[in-house]
Amino acid sequence: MSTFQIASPAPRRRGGRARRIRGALAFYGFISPWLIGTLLLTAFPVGYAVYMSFTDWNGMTSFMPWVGLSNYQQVFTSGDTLSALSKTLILCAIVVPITIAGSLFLAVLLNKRMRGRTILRTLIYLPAVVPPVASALIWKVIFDKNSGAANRILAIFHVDPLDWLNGQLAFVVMIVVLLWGVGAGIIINLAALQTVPAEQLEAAKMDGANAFRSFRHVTLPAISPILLFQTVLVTITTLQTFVPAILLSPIAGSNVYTNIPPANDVYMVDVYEQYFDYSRYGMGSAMLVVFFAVILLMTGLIFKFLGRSVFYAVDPSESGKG
Amino acid sequence: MEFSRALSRRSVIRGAGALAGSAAAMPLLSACGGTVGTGSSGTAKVQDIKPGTLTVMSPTGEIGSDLVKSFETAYPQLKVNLINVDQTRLNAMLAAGNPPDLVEQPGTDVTPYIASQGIALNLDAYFEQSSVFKESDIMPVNDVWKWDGSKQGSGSRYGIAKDWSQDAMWWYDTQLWSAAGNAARKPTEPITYDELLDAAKAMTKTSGGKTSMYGLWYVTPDIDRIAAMVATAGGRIISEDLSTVDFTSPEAIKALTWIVEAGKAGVGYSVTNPSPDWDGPEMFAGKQATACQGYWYTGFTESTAPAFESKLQFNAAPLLGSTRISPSFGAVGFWVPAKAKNPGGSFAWLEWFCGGAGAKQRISKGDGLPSLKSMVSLLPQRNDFERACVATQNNELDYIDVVQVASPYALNTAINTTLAKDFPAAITGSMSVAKLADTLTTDVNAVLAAGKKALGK
Repeated sequence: MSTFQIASPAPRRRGGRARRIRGALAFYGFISPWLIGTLLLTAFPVGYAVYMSFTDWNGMTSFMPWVGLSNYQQVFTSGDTLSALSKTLILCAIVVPITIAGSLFLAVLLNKRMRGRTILRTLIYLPAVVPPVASALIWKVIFDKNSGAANRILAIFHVDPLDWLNGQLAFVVMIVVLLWGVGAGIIINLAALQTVPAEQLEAAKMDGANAFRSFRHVTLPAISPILLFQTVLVTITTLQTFVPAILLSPIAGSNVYTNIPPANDVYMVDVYEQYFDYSRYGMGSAMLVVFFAVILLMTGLIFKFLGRSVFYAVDPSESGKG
Repeated sequence: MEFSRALSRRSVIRGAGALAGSAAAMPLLSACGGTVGTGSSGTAKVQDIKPGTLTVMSPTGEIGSDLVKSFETAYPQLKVNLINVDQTRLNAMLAAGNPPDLVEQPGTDVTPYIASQGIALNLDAYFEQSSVFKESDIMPVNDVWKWDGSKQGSGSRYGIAKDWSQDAMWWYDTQLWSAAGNAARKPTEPITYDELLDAAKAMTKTSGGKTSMYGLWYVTPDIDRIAAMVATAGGRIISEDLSTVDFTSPEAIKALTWIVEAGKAGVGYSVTNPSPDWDGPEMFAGKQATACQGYWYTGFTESTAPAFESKLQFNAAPLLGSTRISPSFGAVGFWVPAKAKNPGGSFAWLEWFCGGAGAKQRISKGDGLPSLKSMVSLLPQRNDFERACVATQNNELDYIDVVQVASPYALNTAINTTLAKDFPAAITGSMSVAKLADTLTTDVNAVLAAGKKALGK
């Protein structure tokens, strides 16, 4: 028979308040370099940019006329801006699912025991370690109208050369460039697949589950938090696509921004033009604030709709604890 | 000491983390904040040269180390730091109140903007006391560097050309020209744009969808070039008060039609088929039969592709109408930011590079026309090629004129970005030239209006 005893309160140790103060000072002392850096290098510039979005500053002079919500009104009524935003969303709608599904599919294949698995893993991951500038330029050479490999392959089938880097096809090339970095996703998925408990897969097999059912009901739930993380990350980076659009421009040099094919005129390119071609720092800042809201909204929607399908492992010994 | 729930350690970390996350989602925002520079448009007092470093913003490779060394020998108290011309970087430096000491840009394009916004230093006092620049000796083309508060071409000086050319002039490869059955041209007699297009069609070689030789130069929808074409037909693009443009006049429609036709014909690189480079490298690689460049191309040819000297012909600027006007699109030179730290040193560079030993060194190589009349005699005439080029150039000088295109309300970069967005639809056939003219007028006027509003006008 167990007995209950009412524990007497622990005696208050002397110097508790002083210790708490010391603890607090140590805490803030340790985080202060990072905190100061964040306040000075992040909070202030972001706040300043938000302030700029309410002005018509040209970026060079001291005159910063306050225009209220005028820039925001233009963001929502400018045909160019809305067109750039829609192109960016379409890009996202194509690139994100292919990247997530493709990297998962390849990771599953590379997770199987087979000959040359290490070499295959290395080869598939290799593009992910090539600097983005180099990869974009490689694709630019491949898709060059006059001397590129893509048109040479088409010529074998008697297809006339295509002008890949101009017109609507430039958008296709940009998608290819973005998908080329799928290797990073493969590595993350491979790591996630290693964490799927072997005993659960074994149990499913003993229960008669085939490979697909085992993947669907055991593997997928187990790695779902990783997939959610990847979806959010790939969505944000795809929405912010900028460098590939610049590097795939048919020309180089200072006129590069005026020669980006209209098909690749994505939102961040439009923002850049507002800042540095039109010297409209206020408008550019307003576009970024709106874009920030779009990114937050997209992230929220992903959590809302995909979050329901995500399963988190819970330590059974912890369940029921208040 | 107790911490309130509103500012617990945990909440500090959460808040800062959210802030950092937000910044990650707003990549440019954190880069675009900065302090604001101030400018002054009043006449600056002459200051002495201060010893130190002179930061010169100039296109990479344009100013050789030999020139820098010569300058530093002449002014041992100054060290030159060259940085590449980059409008983004310049904006950032101006905004931070730490501009370069000198900026190399085209006077035709930037003077109204930099002068009216107080970004550039008024150099009148410096020119008045200069022993190098005598008013009577300065070439009239340098008037593009003047601004009187409402008009370019008169008023105070804000810069001076390092060298210049009449940039609507053009060159052709005589071998390709005659091989295509085109009759030889007299260099000093202008061709019409229509004749030129026909000649270009004859020289263009296309096979299996690939073009191995373009007959025409790289036709970009550039406001300078369009305005120059329109001027030869007796028209004008920008209004007298420099606040609006009109592309719908018959002269402008004629110019737009020619550019669109050239693009559609595929006889040259265009905005829908941009060149991987500019005219020079394409021509010397045997991919382009003509180039639209001024006198400075003489020196460039001699230093880059001497084999082409024997087959290149330098020609008078083409005509769209019947008015012979042959403008400079650039009069590229230097201006001094109002907040430059060492204006005395900056002006020493101007004197040396644009009117002194540095200028002599460059002009004698055929790299452009001098800013001073007294240096015209230095133009090289050592061989037939150089003599022919100088003869054509001397004849063309009679037709120099300032074609007004720049506005105090927007840089030409902004206008050209707008043109580049609107032209492709016309070249691909989804927009008529008349509609293009309307669209350009509306869109460019919107850019100018926004710039005007930003100035509080």
